[in-house]
Amino acid sequence: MSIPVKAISQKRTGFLVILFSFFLILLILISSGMGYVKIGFAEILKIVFAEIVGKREMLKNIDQTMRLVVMEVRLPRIITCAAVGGALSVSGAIFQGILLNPLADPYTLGISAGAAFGACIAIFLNFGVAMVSIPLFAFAGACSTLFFVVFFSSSGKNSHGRLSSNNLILSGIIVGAILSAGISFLKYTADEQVSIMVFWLMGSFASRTWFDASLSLIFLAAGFITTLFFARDLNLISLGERSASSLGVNTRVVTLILLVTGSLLAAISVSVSGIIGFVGLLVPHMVRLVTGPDNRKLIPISMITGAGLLLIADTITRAVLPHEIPIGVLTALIGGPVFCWIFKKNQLG
Amino acid sequence: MEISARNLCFSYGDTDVLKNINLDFEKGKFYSILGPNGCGKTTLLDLFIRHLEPQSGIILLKNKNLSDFSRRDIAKNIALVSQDYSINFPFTVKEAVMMGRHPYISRFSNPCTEDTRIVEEVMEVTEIASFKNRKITELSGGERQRCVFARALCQDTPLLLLDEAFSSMDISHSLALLDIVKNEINTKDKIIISVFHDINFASLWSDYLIFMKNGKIAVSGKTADVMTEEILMDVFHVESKVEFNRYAEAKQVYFKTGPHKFDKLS
Repeated sequence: MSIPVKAISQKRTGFLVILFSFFLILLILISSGMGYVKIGFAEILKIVFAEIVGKREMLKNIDQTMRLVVMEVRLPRIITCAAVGGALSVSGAIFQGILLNPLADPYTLGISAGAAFGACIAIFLNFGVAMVSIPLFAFAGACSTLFFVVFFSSSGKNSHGRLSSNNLILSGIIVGAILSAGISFLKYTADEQVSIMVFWLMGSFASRTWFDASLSLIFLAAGFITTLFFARDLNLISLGERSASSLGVNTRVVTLILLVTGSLLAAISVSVSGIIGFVGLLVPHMVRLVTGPDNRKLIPISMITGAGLLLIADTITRAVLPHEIPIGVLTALIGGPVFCWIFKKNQLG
Repeated sequence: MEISARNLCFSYGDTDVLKNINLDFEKGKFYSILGPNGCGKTTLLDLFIRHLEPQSGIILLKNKNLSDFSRRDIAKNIALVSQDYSINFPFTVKEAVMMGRHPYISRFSNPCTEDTRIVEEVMEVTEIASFKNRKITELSGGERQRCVFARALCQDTPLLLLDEAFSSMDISHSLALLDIVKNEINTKDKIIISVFHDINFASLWSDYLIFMKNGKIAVSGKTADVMTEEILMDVFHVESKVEFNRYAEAKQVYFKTGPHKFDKLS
């Protein structure tokens, strides 16, 4: 490892959290001015302030369409995107800790394949109210996948009811492979819906509503608090099950709680936005180089960083590029090379 | 009795790993568990820290059933130096050793000065203080094992379980750590229960030897009484010569080159 890590103190963590949150808010405001209709920073501030305090009369001399664009079109999408970025990063940090593997991600256990399969079924059956039924099916798919993976990895003869990381990864890969085959089959049998499936699988934040935004924010808040509560136990679990047990951690219970938390965060993310790769893998990994592996620092900072990075990526595809490309494609296109670079740099060190 | 096992049984599915284990451990004594691979030594230690739960039988800690203790209280009484000292995350040595204070620090508070003092002191005596700011992932196997040892000492428990704790350590560090352990027995009346592969090492340090075979206690007793050629033949199926060594001031065992009869192994 080439980058020198000096363990940052509790105070510095607090400072970093405040600094990063400030940047994130700034980023949210700036990006909501960008797009087809350019809106000045001062106007954005005014609109958002007026809406928060609930004084619409302050906006008399501002174009009503501007207010609509910011409040009804851009902000829901931006907030959803930031929440999903945060959720994927927290989820990634959890999975890396539980699976004792710095390279695990929210999709290692096949959660994404489960969600994708659920969504494809909804599209295949051509449910009319697609805007509601696709996320619902995706969420159900992700949850049942989690259930199967946990069931398989804890019911083995030798596992003795324990959730060992090897068992989890193995059953995740098996279940994921079966579901991927299922998706291929659905694509093959579907006629004109194929394009909808393909597009959904690549992920997008286009036309998200306040409903999506608040849903993902609620899940993120609940997941974040749970994870922070068990962050210290997660530190010990990442040293190995037996060590954690001997230090007074109920490994089975904590692993199960965190597993469900991480999976729900991933599931809600996928349901809201489709499959967005590399955020959950890359963000905790990068942040760890700065904060060190202590989850009490890693998790809050990962969440804010992930939110900011995904928002930047989404703003690029929405407002900078001439044509919007699916966000999942963009994150993989940027994230992949960045990951290779970090990986190589650490190996050379 | 500080800690004892009563009719302890454990199995993985249909495979019985431990059958009817009865043991008593007294304060201020060093116990060694010896036996062939797969005889249930590590499983027995896992039951003592409640990493596993026995199918039947109980473990009594201070005359109270172990399952009535909270996990945190068990961790304040029993520490384990386990074999899994491979660590994938780059914690610093100091952070890793500080984790030994986990049972004493409540969830959202920081280590107090007492915790820091103990950690610094233990790092000093285990000779890892010189690299306390290095990342644990960068250390050699033996150095990492010393960190895990230091972490267990920081738990400050009346019972210390060692699961082949010296397997990748050099001889001078092994002896130094065993001296520390011996000192803790004398000054703090600790109990040490250690799994050894090196029979001579076990004989040097132990007050009592416990021989295990096929998930049962084969023989147990004072080191001088049970360290015999017949028992070694019975447990390990090897021919040997056991003698009192004046330099070591203990019984030592010697082996010779083959042919050895592996067909006797069951």
